[in-house]
Amino acid sequence: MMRIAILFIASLASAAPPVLTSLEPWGAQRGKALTLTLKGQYLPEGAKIVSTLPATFTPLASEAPGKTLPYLVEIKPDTPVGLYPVRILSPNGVSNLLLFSVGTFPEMKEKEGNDSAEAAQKVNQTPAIVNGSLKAADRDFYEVYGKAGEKRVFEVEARRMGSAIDPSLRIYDSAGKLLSRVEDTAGLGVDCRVEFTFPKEGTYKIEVREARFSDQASNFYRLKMGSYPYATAVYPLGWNRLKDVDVELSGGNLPAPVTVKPLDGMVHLPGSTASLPFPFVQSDLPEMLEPVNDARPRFLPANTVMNGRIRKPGEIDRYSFPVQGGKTYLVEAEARAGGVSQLDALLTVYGVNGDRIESAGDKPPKQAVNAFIVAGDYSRDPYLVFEAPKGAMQVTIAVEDLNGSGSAAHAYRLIAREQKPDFEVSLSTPYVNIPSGGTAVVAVNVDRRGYNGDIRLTVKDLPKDIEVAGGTIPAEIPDIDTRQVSRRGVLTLTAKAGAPARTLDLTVIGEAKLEDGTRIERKALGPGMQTNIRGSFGFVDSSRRAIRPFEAPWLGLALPAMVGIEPPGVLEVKAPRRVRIIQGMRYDFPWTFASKTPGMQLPSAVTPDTPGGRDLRISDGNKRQPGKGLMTMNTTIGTPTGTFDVILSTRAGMGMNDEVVYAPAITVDVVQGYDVGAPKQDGLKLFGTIRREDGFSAPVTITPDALPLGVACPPVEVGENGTEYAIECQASKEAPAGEHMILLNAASILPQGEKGKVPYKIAPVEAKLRIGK
Amino acid sequence: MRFLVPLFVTPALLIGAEQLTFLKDVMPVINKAGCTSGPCHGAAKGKNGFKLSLRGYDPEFDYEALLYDLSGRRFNRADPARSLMLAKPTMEVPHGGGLRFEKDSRYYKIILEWLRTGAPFGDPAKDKVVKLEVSKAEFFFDQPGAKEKIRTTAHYADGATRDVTAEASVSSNTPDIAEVNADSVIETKRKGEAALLVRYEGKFVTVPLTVLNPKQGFTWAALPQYNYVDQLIDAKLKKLHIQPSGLASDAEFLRRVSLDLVGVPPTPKELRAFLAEPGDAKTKRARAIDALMKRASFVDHWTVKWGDLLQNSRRYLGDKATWGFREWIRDSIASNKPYDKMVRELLTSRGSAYENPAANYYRVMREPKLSMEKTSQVFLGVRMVCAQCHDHPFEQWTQNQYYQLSAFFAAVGLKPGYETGDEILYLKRDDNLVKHPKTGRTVEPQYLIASIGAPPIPQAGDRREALAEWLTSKNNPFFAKAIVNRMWSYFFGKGIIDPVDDIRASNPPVNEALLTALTKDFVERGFDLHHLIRTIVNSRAYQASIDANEWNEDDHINFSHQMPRRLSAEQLQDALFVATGSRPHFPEVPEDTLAQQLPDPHVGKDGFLDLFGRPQRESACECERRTDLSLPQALNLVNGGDIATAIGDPKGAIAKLITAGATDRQLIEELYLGSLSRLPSPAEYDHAVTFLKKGDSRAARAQDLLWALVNSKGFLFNR
Repeated sequence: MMRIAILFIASLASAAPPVLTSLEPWGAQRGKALTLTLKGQYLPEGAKIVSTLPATFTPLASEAPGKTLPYLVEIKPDTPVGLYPVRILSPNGVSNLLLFSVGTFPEMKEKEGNDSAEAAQKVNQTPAIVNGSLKAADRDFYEVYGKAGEKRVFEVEARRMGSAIDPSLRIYDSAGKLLSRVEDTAGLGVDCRVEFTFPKEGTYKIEVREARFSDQASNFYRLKMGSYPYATAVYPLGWNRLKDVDVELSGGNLPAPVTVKPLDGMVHLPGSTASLPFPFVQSDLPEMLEPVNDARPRFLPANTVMNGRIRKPGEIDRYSFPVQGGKTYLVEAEARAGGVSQLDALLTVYGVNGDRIESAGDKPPKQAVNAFIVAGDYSRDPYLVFEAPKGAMQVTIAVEDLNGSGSAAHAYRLIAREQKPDFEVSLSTPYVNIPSGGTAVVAVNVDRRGYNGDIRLTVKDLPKDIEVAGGTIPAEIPDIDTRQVSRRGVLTLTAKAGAPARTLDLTVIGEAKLEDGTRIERKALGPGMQTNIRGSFGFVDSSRRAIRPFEAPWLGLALPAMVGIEPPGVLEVKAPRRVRIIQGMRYDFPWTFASKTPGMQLPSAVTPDTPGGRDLRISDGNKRQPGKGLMTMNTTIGTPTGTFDVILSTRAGMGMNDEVVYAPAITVDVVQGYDVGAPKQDGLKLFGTIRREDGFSAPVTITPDALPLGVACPPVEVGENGTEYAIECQASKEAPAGEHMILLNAASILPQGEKGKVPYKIAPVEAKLRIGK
Repeated sequence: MRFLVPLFVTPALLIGAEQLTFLKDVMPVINKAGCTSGPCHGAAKGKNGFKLSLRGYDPEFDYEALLYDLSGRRFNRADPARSLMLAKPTMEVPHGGGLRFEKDSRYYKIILEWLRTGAPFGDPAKDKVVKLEVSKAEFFFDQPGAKEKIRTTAHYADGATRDVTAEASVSSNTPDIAEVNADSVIETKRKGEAALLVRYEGKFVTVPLTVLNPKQGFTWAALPQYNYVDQLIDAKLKKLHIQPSGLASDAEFLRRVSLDLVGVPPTPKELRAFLAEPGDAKTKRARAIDALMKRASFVDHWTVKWGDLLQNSRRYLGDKATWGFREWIRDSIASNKPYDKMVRELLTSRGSAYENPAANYYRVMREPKLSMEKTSQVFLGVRMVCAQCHDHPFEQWTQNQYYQLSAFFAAVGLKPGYETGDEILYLKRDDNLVKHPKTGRTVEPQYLIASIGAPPIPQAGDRREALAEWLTSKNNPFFAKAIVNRMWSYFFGKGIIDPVDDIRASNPPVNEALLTALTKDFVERGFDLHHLIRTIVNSRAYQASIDANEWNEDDHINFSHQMPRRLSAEQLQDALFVATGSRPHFPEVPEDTLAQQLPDPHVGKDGFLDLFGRPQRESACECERRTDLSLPQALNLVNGGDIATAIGDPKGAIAKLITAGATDRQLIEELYLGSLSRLPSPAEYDHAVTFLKKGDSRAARAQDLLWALVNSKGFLFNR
């Protein structure tokens, strides 16, 4: 249960929703008071702080109104060590979230100018935490004093807190000799930690630098120095949220494993340790622990999470799993991608004869089209789908490390179940501000797990004064050649004019209907927060340069939202919310922009987003006028039939502070211009109907094909707007009697084709032709 | 293999009353006639629809081609004399390759007789050549102009021998010293050394050849020998009548050894201190060497070299892994990790490239054949690339061996890591075989050559462990020799075998005894690279002057004197820093980063460093680093912004000296010491003083003086 501390003071209006860029400092010692300054843009005085931090927040006067919000913060002495989300609410909207770290050590600030060993900043006493920042090729040096044989832990908290830097730590003796260097530390992601033993009494220099000297917008870190216990292994990695479990923490510098209970989705080392807690998975499924020292064969029930670990190098855990021949099953592991386990899981399914049926973790999953699209993708925990061999009643599922490693830190969660086409949805928008009388967008990603059909996104229990539009994720046809996927959808949320300002907690759902009529509904998990990370440079393949942003799904947030102030203007598209476009034809979307701010420069162009749309050509017209325009969408014969959304946006504002203004999504159905119905037969005459889309009037020629010997059926032309066809066939004596399947090929033209007339054929229609004796 | 059944039997014209066979008699003829050469039917696609194996490395293939291709049209069974394989080379019918032999020649008769007697292939157990022997193990000529025939004898599998002088191919690797004509007669042209390559039916022999200086009056003047390097070099020099040069001066030595060990010349302060040190040259130089090898810059300098060889570049690895791999290389050098251990770690690396930087080794090449080619070139000094499509034309390596060695790497797989940009190296369970391109069959891994103690190769699993053990073994005849030779080249500008990564029978060492001794010492000291470096730089030969004498002025290969070497790109950039006091500025790295501390060629791309030949690390070949001189380089030095900025730096040497009120002597001496690592001669000093006094601005003149100094050979070259 999250405890929320909200401080509410009379609000004042400001220009736009608030944006937090940094906290100063980024952390504090529990039980102490401090001045915490929130920095960013559009930060009005009196904004509410929303945080689970057990502390009081007393606002102070800002020296830079709109850019800073200082508070006197008193943190309770028994506050658990960890990371606490902080955001603000203002009448203009809700801000993004930043993480504030609470520790047990005294805190200090970095003093700039410490960019060489000679100019190292003295840290006179440890334990201590230094709050610093690294800009590009900056290096920060600190000087500490140590006694011979003394052990001290040096740890950098950065990426775990949402900083974009990838820290690296070095320790030198007083002569400048490098004694220790540490990069990514197991269990800490890209952050680093070392327990260092001072070889002799004297001063030592600690250097913190960015692993690749990249220049990041969010570049803070906390250097923790002191003697404290820390663990590197957690087992199990998760449990049913309603059940009790003992969690073992081991490794690190613990003399012996320690058993604790999870608390609010975290596991903490007991005592006043300075270690950050580990995230702990909370599930809604039955859970088991791997039987150890048990001679009985291990059995994995379906739909039950098995928590196990590969304790030593070369170990392979095997489970027998019951199956029915011919059915399809999904097996998945959670391990390294969760950030705690060190296991790079390899899953293998074996038949009763030991034959390998399928494996995952040693290659991209077959289901993932992006396996061959994105060369620079990152690995996720493996999953596989397999069909049980005919007659099989059980298979063996093996879990091991891809490179044969093993230790107490190589834990996993394993689940197997009958697979039906499925998918997972996740938000790429951590929060949303819906302008009153305006529109905001929410982007959603889909991870298809065997389901390639349409997915519809919607928002559950939406208040009546907010409308949702868009949310279409068209079906995907995995195609190695075209490399096109359909895994992204966009919802627009439009608050009616006059909708009161208030906070909401929205739930986005992805819905689909399977071929057998079953409905699936999946809730979208939120990223909590996002920090963009500037990419990796130099790769020849540009797709490998992007680095995925930092996210904190462990915060367990869905979609925090707020209905805020009016937008600077309203973008309106003069088109129905749902339109139909005939393949090969075009559709015009006239738009207007109504400003709500006097003196605003009106936009003269819009930007379209068409998630899932294929083979489209979009132009915004030749004439650009401020405040209005025409966006034209051209389709081609190659544009597949189906549904997708169009979301138009523009930038508007007073120059320096332009905002993106969205129009509600319009759903587009691309349809065939005409269909030929299967004919009926009277004697040797075939007759039927032609269904035409509104606007499609061109003549249609129907040519029968695949006729049996001795049968002639001349083509017929159905004139403009005609809806009925009749084909007079003739059969010679040689024509074989009986029922024959023939094809009716239909062809027409596109009247609005580029070159005047473009041939327009549809798929042949199958028809039965009976020839009597 | 189809064997031709003769249609009729005629009395055979036998050579020495033997049945003529394809293997023993006909193959040598068509090889000698040039039919199987690269420009002719030995070309990749053959010529005019007729393909033979290059230089006859595949007799079975050639036999099939001659007798059975195109329904056997090249062989007229009814009238062998009318066979195309006779009509073409004698130009009885048009032949693009021209006349290869006359109709009444011996070659014609051999082929005709062979055809008449049924055209048998022969028995490899008898007809295969197992060894070649030449008339002398070494050819020694007192003067140019001498001639001598080299006779070649083939030894066969059944113990028979035959004089194959007429059909053997003999060539010289240095034709301007000695040439060999079609009759195997050596004709010497000028003094020097060469190697003769004798080839016959897939066997090779290399024969050293020496042409002495004809000048009279040579008297060997013994110089001190600091270690066995000098003993072995002197032994050869004495034999060749080459007098080694004396030692370089202390200043010359310190500059040279500083550039070679730590990549930067000494500062004026360091130079003055060294010159003032008492003691004999050998002892004080040894102290200087030890001190230089303890510096951080020593590690930086050698990290660059290994970064080049291992192709550490963000182009392949991304920036984070590039930094990580550099740190791994750096740590290995700093800790003086035994070389065999370092190589084993690279070859057997696994896991995340971020967590196990050695795994980046495989991320560059990414597939078995390329991994093998790089491994053999870098660590064995052997270029296997030629054997991919056919047996190596000048070496013992076969196409089969190419794929057998590649098979060790077949199971290496790469998948994306859990962090973007990372990759995980693992062993593939599927698609982990190498297939022979001709047969389509799986090729099992096999060592290139057998060596004592080579471990058995496992049937499955990680075969790289076995490969690593074989490759790094002290019994491997290439491993230690290759690195010793390579390290030697870093101090002398060329290897004892040169090019250093092209060790082959036809490219022999210039001093076999020296290379053998260094290799043995290196192995016995546990593959200690620091010890190897010390041995080399503590030798008198390394410390010799570049000044030649009348007896060694033409010697460029026997290390009788040092040769000037142009500074590498990084050395040049960092030497400018020492000379001008102006730090180079590179984006994306800390301000105090020198050129030799850069992780890869991405930093400072297309700038000064690339202009002066910094390699892009797209190849593991030493040849990728260029040290030649070009017009753009000259223009940059004479008139470029880099020099101007360095010399005009407000924090630079000239600004500091002028503002500190340095006298003319102080100014001139500092500029000379900083750039040329020596004091000016009296004449140079006088000239400089006069120069400084000209014009209005002494500071401007000082800048011009420095500019001239950094454009001089004394600065640009390691002398």
